[in-house]
Amino acid sequence: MGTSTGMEQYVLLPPQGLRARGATASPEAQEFLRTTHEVSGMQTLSVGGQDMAITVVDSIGADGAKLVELSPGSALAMRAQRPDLRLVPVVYYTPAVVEREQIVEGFGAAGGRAAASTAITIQVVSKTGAKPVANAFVVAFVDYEARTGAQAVTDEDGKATLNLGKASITLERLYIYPLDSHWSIIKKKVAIKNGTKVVVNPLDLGFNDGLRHFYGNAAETVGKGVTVGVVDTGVTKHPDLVIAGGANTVPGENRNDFADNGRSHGTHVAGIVAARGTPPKGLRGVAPGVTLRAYRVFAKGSGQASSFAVAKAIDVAIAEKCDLINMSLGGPDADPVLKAAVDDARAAGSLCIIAAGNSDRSPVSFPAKESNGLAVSAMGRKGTFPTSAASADEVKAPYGTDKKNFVAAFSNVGPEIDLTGPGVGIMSTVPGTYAEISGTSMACPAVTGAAARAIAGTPILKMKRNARRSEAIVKAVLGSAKPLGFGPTFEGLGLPGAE
Amino acid sequence: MIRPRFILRYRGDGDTPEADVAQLRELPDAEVVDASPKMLLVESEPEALRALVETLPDWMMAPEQQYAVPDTRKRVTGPPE
Repeated sequence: MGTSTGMEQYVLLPPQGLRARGATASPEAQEFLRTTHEVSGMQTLSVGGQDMAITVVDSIGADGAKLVELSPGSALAMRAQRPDLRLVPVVYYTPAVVEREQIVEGFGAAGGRAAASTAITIQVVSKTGAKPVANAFVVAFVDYEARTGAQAVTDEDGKATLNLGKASITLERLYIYPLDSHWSIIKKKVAIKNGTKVVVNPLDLGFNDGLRHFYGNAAETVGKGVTVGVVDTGVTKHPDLVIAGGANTVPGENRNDFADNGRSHGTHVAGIVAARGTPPKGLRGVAPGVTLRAYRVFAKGSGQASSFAVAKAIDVAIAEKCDLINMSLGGPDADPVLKAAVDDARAAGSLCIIAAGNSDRSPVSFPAKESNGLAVSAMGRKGTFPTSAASADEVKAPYGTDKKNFVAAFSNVGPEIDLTGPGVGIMSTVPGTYAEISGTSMACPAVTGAAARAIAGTPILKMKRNARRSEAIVKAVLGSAKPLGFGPTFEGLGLPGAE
Repeated sequence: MIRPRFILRYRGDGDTPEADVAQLRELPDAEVVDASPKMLLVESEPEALRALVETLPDWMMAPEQQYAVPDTRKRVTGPPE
């Protein structure tokens, strides 16, 4: 909640629980909480050599949590300088009144209740040899603002049949998302009828997308010595990936089957961190030298993961000595079990790096908003994707000090954001080939790769696996970030470890 | 009838105490669906389970939740008018 002086209210907490006691809090954290307990009115404190104005509004005892007022800039500095404490924005709960959604049936692909109406079949073909593109997701908006229209997936002949009620129509927008090997495409004010062909452009692995623009093509040894766990849909073997091991934590499934569940998401995420290919024949991730471990939490073919599977995967990743745990997933509701698992990772010397969510500038989703992990927003850069790609639709203010940089329109934002990463039009590995996808899911592993760069070869990796180790990781990662000029709500401390 | 699922997580030092796990497994009308060194996934009506968990130190209980991979693809939500 904001105050009349431009200060914001936060709760300053020990790493675990509400009081700094025993081994869960460092002596320095305990001392700092005691110091702030003695603050009355607005005072200036030196935190890590940086002066900041702070007002302590309330306190749970000398060693307990504090309700404080800080400027957003000071809050960021506090989080960077005191990773041994948690600083979370005050949340005021209101009754959750949700309007029931209208369930709309019989629209979309032909064969539904609207099959009797006029349907239009279009064909998606590749610019290379005009080959049909199968399994592309075609979304046709008659009214974009109202989100009405039809959608379908292309068959083996690249054909998608759309129930639009007319034999020909001018669409407000047409989006095509190929499953792999091609750029997505957006067309506005496009007339379609039966037999209309839409051409999509093949990926060029030598192209400088957002990831390669900011992180280049690193030497194969970059990130060596760091172990990264990818908690996701699983990771499938790929010529560009070396998978050291992993686990499947989905209840009822084979523990050793941690290959991709068919959604390709985890394999894409893994490639952003650790792909070892060489363009233009392959792709290179941000930290190709890391030891990559895969933890599948999504059941075969499913887009939903149980909080049990996710928490168990974090536990296994901790036990298998992952230094960084990438979590490109989330949901709207806080969950004490998953929060506990993220807390346990932090206490065990590991760090969770978590996507903020893709709900068009909505508040940061859970567990990213849990401050014991790092929350990552997504940014993009003009010129790193074709102007015809769906990614072009994600260009939105604020722009950076370099006006080509922007915060992705889809990215969630808020005071919990710690860092930002490139997440618009990112090429990476998928089973058997490559694909371009956008999302905070892509920004998150970019930051994980940058984090691996920041700690590789440092004494941090030799530290005992406890909270001090993860605090040192946080400090190194946040310390490598540079603001791009979006402001803290959009980028936290900025982009880490860019070249 | 589908019964709700709950996650029980042990917050004490080390792995789940065997005696606690035995008590939870013996709870009538409750089924342990999966287990890990720190947790149990239990299918049960909440009242009896919660009553037992409250007697066991260092355990927490929460309903199982679902998480999605965030997606940025646009979607139609209704047919054309």
